[in-house]
Amino acid sequence: MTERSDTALLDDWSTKASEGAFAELARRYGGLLYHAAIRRTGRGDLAAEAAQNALLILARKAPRLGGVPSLAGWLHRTVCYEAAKLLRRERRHDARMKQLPAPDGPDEGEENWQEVAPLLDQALDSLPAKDREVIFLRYFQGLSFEEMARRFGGGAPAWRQRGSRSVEKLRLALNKRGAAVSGSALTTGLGSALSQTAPAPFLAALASSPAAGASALSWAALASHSVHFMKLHPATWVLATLIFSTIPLGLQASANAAVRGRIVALENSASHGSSDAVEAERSTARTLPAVGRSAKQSVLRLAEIIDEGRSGSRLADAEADRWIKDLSNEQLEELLRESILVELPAKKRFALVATLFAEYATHRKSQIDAGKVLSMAALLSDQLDMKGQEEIWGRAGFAAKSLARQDTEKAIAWYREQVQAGRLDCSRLNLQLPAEIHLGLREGHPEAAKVFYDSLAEDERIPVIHYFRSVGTPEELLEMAAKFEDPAKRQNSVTMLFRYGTKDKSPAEARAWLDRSGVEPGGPAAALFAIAAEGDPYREDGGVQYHAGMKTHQIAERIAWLKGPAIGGESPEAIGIFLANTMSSAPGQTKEALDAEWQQNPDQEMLAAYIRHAGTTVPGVADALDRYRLLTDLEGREEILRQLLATPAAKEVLDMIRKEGMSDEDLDESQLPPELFR
Amino acid sequence: MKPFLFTIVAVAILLGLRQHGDHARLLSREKELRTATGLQMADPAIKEAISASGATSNAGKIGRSGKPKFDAKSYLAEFKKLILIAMLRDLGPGEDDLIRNGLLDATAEDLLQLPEAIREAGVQDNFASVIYESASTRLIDKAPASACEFALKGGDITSFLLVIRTWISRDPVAAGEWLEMRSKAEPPLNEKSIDTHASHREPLDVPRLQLAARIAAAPSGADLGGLTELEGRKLAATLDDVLKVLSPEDLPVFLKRLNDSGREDLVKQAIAQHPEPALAREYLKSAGLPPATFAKAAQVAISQLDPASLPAGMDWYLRDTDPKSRGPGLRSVVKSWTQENPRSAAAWIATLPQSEDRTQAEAAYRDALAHPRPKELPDR
Repeated sequence: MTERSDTALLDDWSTKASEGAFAELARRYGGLLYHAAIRRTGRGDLAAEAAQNALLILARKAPRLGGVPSLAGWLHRTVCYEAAKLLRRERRHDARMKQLPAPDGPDEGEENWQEVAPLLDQALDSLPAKDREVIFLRYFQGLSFEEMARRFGGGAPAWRQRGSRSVEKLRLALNKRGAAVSGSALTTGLGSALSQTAPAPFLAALASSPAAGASALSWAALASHSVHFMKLHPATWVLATLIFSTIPLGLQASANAAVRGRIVALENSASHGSSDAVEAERSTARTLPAVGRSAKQSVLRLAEIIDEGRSGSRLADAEADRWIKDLSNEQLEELLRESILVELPAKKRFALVATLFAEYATHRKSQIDAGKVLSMAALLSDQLDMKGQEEIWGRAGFAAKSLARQDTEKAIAWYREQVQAGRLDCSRLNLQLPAEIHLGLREGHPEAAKVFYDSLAEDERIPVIHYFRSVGTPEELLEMAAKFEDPAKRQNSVTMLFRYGTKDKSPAEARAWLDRSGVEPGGPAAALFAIAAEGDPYREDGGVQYHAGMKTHQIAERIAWLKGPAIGGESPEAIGIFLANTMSSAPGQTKEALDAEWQQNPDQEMLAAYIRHAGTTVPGVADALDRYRLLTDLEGREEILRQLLATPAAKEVLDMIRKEGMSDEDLDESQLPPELFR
Repeated sequence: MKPFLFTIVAVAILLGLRQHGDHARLLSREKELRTATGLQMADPAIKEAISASGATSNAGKIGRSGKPKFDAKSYLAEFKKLILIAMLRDLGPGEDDLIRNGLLDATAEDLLQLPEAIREAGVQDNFASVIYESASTRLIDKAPASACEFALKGGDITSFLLVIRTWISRDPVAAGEWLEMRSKAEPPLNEKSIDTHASHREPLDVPRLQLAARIAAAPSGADLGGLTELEGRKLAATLDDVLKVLSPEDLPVFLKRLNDSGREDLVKQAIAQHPEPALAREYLKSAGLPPATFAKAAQVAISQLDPASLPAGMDWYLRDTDPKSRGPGLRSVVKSWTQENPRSAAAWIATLPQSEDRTQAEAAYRDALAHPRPKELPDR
């Protein structure tokens, strides 16, 4: 005869009050309940009581248990709670229970099983439900994995995998509790421990009248089972009562606030005689979710979607766009505030905050007050890393400029306040904000802009000059650059002018600019000439020259430009730096051009400069090491080599060389000092 | 005790009754106004959204209701128009958003029928690749194998990796079987099946994904040799795959096994590379690592956090590590935190009670201010 399923028996009991069905369930699970309880309590009487209670709870809850995959798992957990509850009762009221007798363990002889058995139920209880279920299906109900796959779907290998993972988890849980047991001993032990039958008198007693038992079981017992109140401290009761009392009040208050909000909108609508409120409400209704989410949940989900979008999902990208576009300004603000409160990986947070703030400060710049944008930027930047701070302040630039246009004094005061607070620290961060404010001031109050510039620290002036290039004349810019005291910063401030502004200029014109800027002769001047020789990276057709790379003949033309008489003594060094720079975009062409130049004019100073500056790319370093032997100043060249080897690209090359190994002959031939390459 | 609890409940009931009265009054007022302005509460879309949201001013709630139904025919007709435009001129920014946006309201069933609709519409597969790529991620829940096939047809390696890794993380056995089957099929799935591109230069490595699937399926038993014998970039890439698919609760056993294999360095690397540092931190404790290894790994875990997560992370670090040995780790993290965001670091230090930890943190803070990290100049 085929054994009836648990679900069918539960159904019979729930719908027809079939005591036979319940008795069958009691017979089926009595052993499991009794032995689990006895392992927990160590006493037969308590075990019987716990098992009885568990069955009575089953009787009450039967209508809701039809969907439980493993009734055994559910009953095991229930009997463990009941046993723990009884044990606590006994311990409280009976001093004798302080010396609990040793539990009635399983047979001796099995590896460590004596040690494991008392902890088995705790360990089982600590497993996730899906693991507990598969263990009970396998070792209590004795189902094969094929059988599980047939009954519950999925493939047998998957169930087998799940089974072995669950047993492994159980083994680890036991290990954590100090009971070391091997996998095989555990599976053998599980087979016997979970499938033991209960003593006959107990079985007879517990199934005698389930209906009466079930009805006798108090509401309090069921409630305490359901919410596991066994361990509650009195203060927890107070707290729980407060929580359960205030939650409905909070919900009601929130609902009332919502109605009040709608009433205000409707009243406005009525007083203005328009349908704005109606439209506003329709719009709100469209953007609100079908299932309410807290701001925290929304932020976490949005971070996930944005991250997925950045990891290659176009749909996630589209979904994030749509969500964000649908947010009201207030919703957007709340999500921004929440985005720095939740715990997120740095990369995810950056993507989330950058996306939300771009919408807030850039796409909605016409809707949101500049002051609000700047306050939000300050709030966010306080919690972000340097990259995040630069991103936020970069996006807030428009608002700063707009504030400077509207209210000069307010904008300057705001800027000073932020600098003082340490938020806008141009010595630490690459910030464009001083430049945005300067541009904003310059549009309406050129004098104020000048005063503002003069009041800035040198680190703050650099972005101003970089931005100013697009609105001011080269002469004005060179005058501003000449005000720098730090030579490196002075050089930095005119870099962009030389890169973008020297196209079609003669070497003499470039030299005149250099002289006006006050940049020092020698290395700094040579570096600027090299940058000028690279020329405007934007091609006539709008493309970027660097990405395409220069042709060999173009490189040769620029070398010729750098040999112009006006470049003077800086010429060889400038050519070396220029060639080192073009290695990053056109390595093959650069090598060809350098070979040709070296054949015509083997200038040691040029080569030294090339090697010294070649550390920006791996091909550059490799080529520089190849040419090292051409340096004839034996004393000075090792210093140049050490400078090269200190660069990140050179470190990468060194790692490769050390890993692959370099023969003595190769080192000899290249004249590289062996101690630096081993 | 009981009278106290009774009082709380009684007060709550009284307040509740009062609020209920207010609510009735407010609803009645709202009804009057609606009649006056012509908006009927019977509007089902509004009613549903308002009742589900609970409050119109709750800014944290986002989403939408009333999804339009996806119509493959009109979507593909629009797509064909787009192809024609692209043949005549370059598409403007956002002009091809239709491809992804048009699929947003499609269900998994709609997407599974797309290949047939694409055939019927006469769209060539090379044009449709972008549709397959876009649709692939939406199919992961319903039909992961089809999602992988769509991603392969899409031809974008990042999309394919996203789909296959998600599947492995959810069902390593089934995903592993699919990889096995596809790598033996004709043509086989291998590094030539899908092109790389500028933002993902590394070719598809099927054996590496299979290894990740095996480890995710049996973290306590799978052979880790294929991982622990690697070095450098290959090791980092393999570890990356494993960590992206490994269930968080399996992380402790995985870390323990790495440590037991004599590769303590891999424990630190795994923590450093873990895509969810907060999770890695929580599970690190359960790995049962020797105290010295744990301390090093804990420092690595904290070092991955950004200033917004550092206060919670540092509290964990101070709670769970040995006060006698955490000094160098504490100083190192506070120093780099200060260099990243001195305001946030100072605010956290101010919350510490007077203690050795606070003294160390203050010293590291001062040191960081005195030795700021050199600013990386933007390339101009």
